[in-house]
Amino acid sequence: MRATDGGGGIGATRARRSAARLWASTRPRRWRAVRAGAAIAIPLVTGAVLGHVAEGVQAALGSFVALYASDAPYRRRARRLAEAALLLAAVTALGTVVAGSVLATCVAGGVVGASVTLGALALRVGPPREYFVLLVFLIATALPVDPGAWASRGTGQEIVLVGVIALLWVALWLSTPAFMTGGSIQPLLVATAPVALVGVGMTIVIITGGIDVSVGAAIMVCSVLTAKLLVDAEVSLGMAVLVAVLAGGLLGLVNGVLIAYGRVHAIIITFGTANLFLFLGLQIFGSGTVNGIPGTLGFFGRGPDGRTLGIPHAFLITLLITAAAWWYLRHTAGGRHFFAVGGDAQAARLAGVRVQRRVLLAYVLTGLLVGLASCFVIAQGTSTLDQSVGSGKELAVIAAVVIGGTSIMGGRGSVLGTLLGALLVQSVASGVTQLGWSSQLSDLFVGIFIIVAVGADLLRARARRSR
Amino acid sequence: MTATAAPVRQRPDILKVLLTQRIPLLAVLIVAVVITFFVNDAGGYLTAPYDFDYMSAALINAVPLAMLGLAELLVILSGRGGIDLSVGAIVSLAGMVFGFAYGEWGWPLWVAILATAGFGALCGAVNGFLVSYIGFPALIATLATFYAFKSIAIVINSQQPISTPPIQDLFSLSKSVELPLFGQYIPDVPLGIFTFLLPTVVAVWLLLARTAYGRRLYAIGTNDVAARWSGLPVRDTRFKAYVYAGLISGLVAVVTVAQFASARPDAGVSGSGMALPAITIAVLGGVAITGGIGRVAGVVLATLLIVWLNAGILLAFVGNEGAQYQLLALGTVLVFAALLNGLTNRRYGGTS
Repeated sequence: MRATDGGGGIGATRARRSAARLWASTRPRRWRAVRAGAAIAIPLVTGAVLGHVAEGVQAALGSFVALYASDAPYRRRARRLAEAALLLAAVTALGTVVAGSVLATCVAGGVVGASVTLGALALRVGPPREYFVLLVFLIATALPVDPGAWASRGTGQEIVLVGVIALLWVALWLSTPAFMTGGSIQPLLVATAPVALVGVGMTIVIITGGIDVSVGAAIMVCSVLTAKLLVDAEVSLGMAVLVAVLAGGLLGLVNGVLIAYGRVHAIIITFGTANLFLFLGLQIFGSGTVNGIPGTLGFFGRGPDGRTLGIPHAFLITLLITAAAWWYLRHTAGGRHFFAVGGDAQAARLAGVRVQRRVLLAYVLTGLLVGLASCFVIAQGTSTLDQSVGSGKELAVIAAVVIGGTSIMGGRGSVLGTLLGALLVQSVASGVTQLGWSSQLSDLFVGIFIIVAVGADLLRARARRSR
Repeated sequence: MTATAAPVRQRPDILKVLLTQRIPLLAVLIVAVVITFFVNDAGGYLTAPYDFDYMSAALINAVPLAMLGLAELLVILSGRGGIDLSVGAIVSLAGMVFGFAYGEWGWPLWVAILATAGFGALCGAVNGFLVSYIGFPALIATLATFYAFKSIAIVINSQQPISTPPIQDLFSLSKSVELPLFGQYIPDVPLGIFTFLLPTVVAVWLLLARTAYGRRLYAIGTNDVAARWSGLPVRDTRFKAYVYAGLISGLVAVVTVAQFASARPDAGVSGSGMALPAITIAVLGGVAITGGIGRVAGVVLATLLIVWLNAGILLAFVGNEGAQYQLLALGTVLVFAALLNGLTNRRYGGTS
């Protein structure tokens, strides 16, 4: 700008210099722009060559999102997403009004995107912002987007999971209109509750750097104990919950003491105690099943007793406990200590955290929640409880935690993500059944979700390191 | 100070060896278990005789357990939290592949076995790729593939097992045979021991103890960073550990199909699955979950201990009580072995 009033040779040199400086200042971002270009261009061109333009666009969106959209700092993501949504609406409107065709929208979006990108580069706005314009242009052209492409954004953050779940629900709603009725959503929420509830405890355990593979067996012990009491002693609702929670807490205490004071890796101890708990549960079962369980726990069940204003109690309680745990982990010293232990136990100890007590507490909390979850499990079942109760639940819970973005290495995680992860898994399971596919197929999707969620997290971590 | 310490350090040699080294401890425990049940048998407390014939017949259960334990050994040795939760699901899926190849398409037996093993290796390669080249934590990657393989195995044949006549005839693979030459003097031994278990044990032992690859595996398991700086192909080595684990799982699939005389889609994942017992066996056999420590002999001895203990427990109780006490025994042995390790490591300093 100074070049215009300066005049002569010096001014021109200055202009060249300042242009060179501007060019140099974009150097860190140029390389990423090239990569973004390649990530988008390769699938687009491949799609166009193969005659599947729409799929190419979607694949480009997927690869682009996996590479870039997720490397915004955590606290700014909500704002970025809102910006993206606004731009999405704007570009879609522009495309429809101006062109009325997909091709013209592509061109218009491309022009807008390119000019905004150049402008953002020149004005040195924060790095990922210019890419959002491109992203928005892609989304506008690729609507309706395949949920699979969106799932690649599942980088372990709550907002993305909300988006994925919303998209999944909308897709299910469009394919089977009966999905968006109370009769279909309520059982879904009820079924989510036990996994999400145990997941809260498991999240805390994994944040401390441990793991608990005995929760499935612990659920079995608590539910058979409670069911027996309900049948034989006809205890009341409160008494049943109290017994289940105490029993769960006791089992958690066993795990916690062995892990915190035995100083053995958690996975080994909990493999061992899983066998012991299974033995205990089978002993209480005696032989065969527990029959004729009364409807005392109907408060947590699927029936009309289990709802207030259409919201299932089991899910409401899970929601409240998750919120409490979220607040505790985020805003109290005790909660932060769990993260400190998981991040670096030695450093935490030197900083005055009582590491062993924290670890013990994590497993006891998990046990208490397992107890409550067992009541939900009994309430959801029929009047008969068989020996397979709780079997395989430990892996389902760990899957929900991992999809929710908690790092298995410890030190990082969110209970809110776990709740959403559990909801996502359950939505997929219910969606697969509603679409009339084999119900076993939902496990395949669970596996894919885990890979995508953690893979995006890994890519993000790599981008963070290389910066 | 040193003068008094020296004799103290020498005295509890046997005790120290037993407490700090897993293999002598397992050997002593096996002898103790066998003697206990022989005594009980002599006293008439068991529901059926516990003798060498019975012990030999019980070895049929050792075949899948020990082979998967060796698969876990390779993976856990590779370090960085190495573990494979998907072996059971690979057994299911590879078993279905074997069922199709041998039972439906009528491939020759050896081609079908090779194809199954190759398919298992392919499944293992998926794990290895995710863990080693992409950098997934092993627990997560194999949890995901566990779900995926399990689901595919069940969906692939619409939840139906394959038990055509050729598959049913395979049951002869798991019967007991009399050994040639000196066979009449010792009990009949299940055929699977010779056709599958012993070759696998020897191959894994050779791989770990007699090849450069084995040395590299121990090196990367002990210290990943040091191994990389000394120029070892860390990723490649870790990747192969998962491939070998998948290969062994593929072979176990053949054993399992023969044992059930049917390719069942849930063979490796029903109940608590095959992966958790296999990991338990590996840990009991002295494999350090942190990687770099573990021996083939430990895994084999741990398998023998559990198999003969389980076989004895089955006779000591009436009905399905025995199966429950097997869980108790397995859990107790595992927890105590782990605690003992932690305790002795602190008392005597870190040894294997």
